[in-house]
Amino acid sequence: MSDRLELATEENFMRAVDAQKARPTRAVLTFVVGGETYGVDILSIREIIKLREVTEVPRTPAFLIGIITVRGAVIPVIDLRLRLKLPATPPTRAARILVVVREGEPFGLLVDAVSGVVRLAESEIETPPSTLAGGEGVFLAGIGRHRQGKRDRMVILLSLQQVVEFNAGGGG
Amino acid sequence: VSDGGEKALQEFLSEAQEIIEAFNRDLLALDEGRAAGRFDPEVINEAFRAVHSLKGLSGLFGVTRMTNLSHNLENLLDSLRLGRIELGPDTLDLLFEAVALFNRIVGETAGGSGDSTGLVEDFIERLDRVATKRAEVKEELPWGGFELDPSMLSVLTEYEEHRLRENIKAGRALYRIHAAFELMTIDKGLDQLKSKLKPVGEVITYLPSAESANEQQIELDIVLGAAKSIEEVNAAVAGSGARVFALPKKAAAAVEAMPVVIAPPPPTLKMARDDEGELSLKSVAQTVRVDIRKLDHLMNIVGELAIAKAGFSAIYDAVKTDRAHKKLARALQHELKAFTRRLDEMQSGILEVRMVPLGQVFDKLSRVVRKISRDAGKEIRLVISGADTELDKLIVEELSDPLMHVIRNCIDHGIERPEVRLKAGKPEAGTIGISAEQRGNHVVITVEDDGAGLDEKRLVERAVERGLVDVAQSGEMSRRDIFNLIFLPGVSTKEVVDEMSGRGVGMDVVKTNIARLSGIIDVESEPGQGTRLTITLPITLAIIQALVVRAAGRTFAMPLNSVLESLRITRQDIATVERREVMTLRGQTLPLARLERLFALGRGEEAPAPPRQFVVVVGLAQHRIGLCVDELVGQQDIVIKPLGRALASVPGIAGATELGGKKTELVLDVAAIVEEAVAAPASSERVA
Repeated sequence: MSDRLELATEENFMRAVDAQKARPTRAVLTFVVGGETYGVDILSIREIIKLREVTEVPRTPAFLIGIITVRGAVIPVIDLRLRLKLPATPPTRAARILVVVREGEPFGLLVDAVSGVVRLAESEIETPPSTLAGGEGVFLAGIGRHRQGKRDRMVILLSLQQVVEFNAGGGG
Repeated sequence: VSDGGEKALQEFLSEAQEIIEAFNRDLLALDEGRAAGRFDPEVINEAFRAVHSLKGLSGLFGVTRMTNLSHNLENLLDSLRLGRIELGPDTLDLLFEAVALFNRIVGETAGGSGDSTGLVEDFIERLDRVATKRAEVKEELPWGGFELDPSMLSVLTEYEEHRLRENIKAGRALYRIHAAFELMTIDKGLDQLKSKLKPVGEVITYLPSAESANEQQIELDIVLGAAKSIEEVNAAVAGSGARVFALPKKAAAAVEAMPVVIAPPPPTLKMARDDEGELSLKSVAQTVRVDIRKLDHLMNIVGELAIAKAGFSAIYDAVKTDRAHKKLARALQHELKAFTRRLDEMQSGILEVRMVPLGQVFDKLSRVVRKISRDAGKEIRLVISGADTELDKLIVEELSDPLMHVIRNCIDHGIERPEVRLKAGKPEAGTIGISAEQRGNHVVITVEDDGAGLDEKRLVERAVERGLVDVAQSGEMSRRDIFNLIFLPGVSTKEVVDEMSGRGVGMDVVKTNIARLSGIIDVESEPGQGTRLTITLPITLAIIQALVVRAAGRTFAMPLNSVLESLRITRQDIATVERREVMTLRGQTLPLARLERLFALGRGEEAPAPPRQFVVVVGLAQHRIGLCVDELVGQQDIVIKPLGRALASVPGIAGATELGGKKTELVLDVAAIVEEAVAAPASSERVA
């Protein structure tokens, strides 16, 4: 009884709210690409769909594998493996297309498999190490570390901005 | 000139220019209003104020001819304001001429050379002639039947009296609004009341009330002309304590003197419970303004329905071969027919909503013509026909820029200077004709001038100079080919590049813009007689008919409006010229292009091109090519969807569409492909 009464005081309540505020967490959808675990903010994902037939578009970069129509809208699909310059392998049944929206424009990201959702506090997110800043590191927004069971897990947070920014006409 | 003087002069120039621009805008607004049968006294007042400011400003800087010009313009505008003279096209022309003269004076003052004093004097003389030509006041019935208090009439100023007459002429009702104001705050109170009244009508005058007032208050009667009902006026002044009275009319007498008020179209919807009184309060316009994107959305849904319909058709096809379901098949066919008919109706209904008359663009053009011709010092008569021809709103929007360029080119390069025209035995004023007419699913817009025509020799020289054609090639060009050189960048027949337009950039842009609308532009010209541009456009872009083809194992849709014909050929029909594939079609050489080469598509496991192929002859603007494909699948109505920002710049692809099988297919941008095929020299063509 007394515990509950204590919790109910305004002061305690506010303290709890502040504590919550000081430790805001981000929900991150994690997925696998080329054996590595990546993540993007779950709020940037509109939906996750199964792989379907993609219509290739000529004169676009190779990582842009084509277009699909989702609910009447044409969406370009980016193969994240190719985008991240990882070796290409044919997609399996677990492959999914993440439909993300960037500045009002939808994009599809082809991933090997979707793992799940983790919550990360800001304190659990590292800025990318400077050694990774060049080269492939341009897609890195940070590295998240969280505990899953007894093990420390690592999530590579992708910068969607960088992933979807490319010059379509210029590529091969 | 000292630095300070220089700076002051610069300030004078920029301020004067600003005022002249504002004056010009007012005139354009007047012109537009006149064309629409409206007359806004506020605009005349604005113009008057602008000229008045110019008078003061130029007086300060000792630019006497501008001061004189402004002073005399003031008189003319004052006469207009008071309704002493009517605002006719001649008067407007005179006013626009004043703008040109003002600009000239500014230029002279800035450059310190030239003297337009003579011109100004001539102009002022002409102004005087117009300003003294009073319009005859023809009055069948004094005050349009209104019973107006003679004591009020006797104190009206000339302007107020004029506005009163204008309000009566416009068929508005007159109201007397009685309000009491505190002596100390009358300015504020009156302004507040006037701003409340502004949305409902025009305050013609306010006079001290005849009714007795107490010492701390002043009571005023405001005379308001308004097209609104007394209820609406009452609502506007609600809370101010003012009382509204309608000024009475003598019965019957008024009827004839009143101009006809355009009656709204009879409302098609009539609520059963509305009694007459309530109806009158409703807005008379039965129209709704709709965001075009909402229509696009509806159109998308119709497109999806059409896909669903195709699905049903496939089911019907499957069922009808099955004898066991003969009855079912017949019922399905029946329903399908009804559904198709309704869907077609819906589709054309939505398309119809998107249609707007071309007059919207033509109106803009006539204003532009006025301005450009004045700047170019040429007199132009613009003849417009077919302004009620309708086109998809989006196309009409996109048309105004290209048409503007075309008109500018006509004025700058086509129509000769007046002295040249006279020498050639032509009327001094050049004529530009714009016409539009619907032919089937297309609208043809022609722009023709009676100017000098295109100079073929000069065009070829220019194109050779720019390296766009080589000398050998130029000898073999047909007249048509030569005329079409004007659509190439950097080719222009005029030597002097002027600030307004010209430079040949315009026609290049025109061609690109028209091609983007799936349109075709053609040019004909006769030396000394003039030039005619013909623009052929599809009526709508929302749903288009497409030819579905297969090439290199992939399916593509091509807008049918750019397809001229399709033929079956064999290997032997193809020859090469400088390693480029061509074929002979009715005695003419037709360059061929292959999608798999243009797009670098792998053929995969398949054998090379099959021996029997199809050629789709496509033409856009002036060029024709044959596109080799493996298979013609058929014709289909498709909804083109944009590929989105990320892929918007992929050359050769116009968008995507969902074909029956739910698969997304690419729609070819035929214009871009033709252009590319024509532009690319054989050596740079990629081989898959």
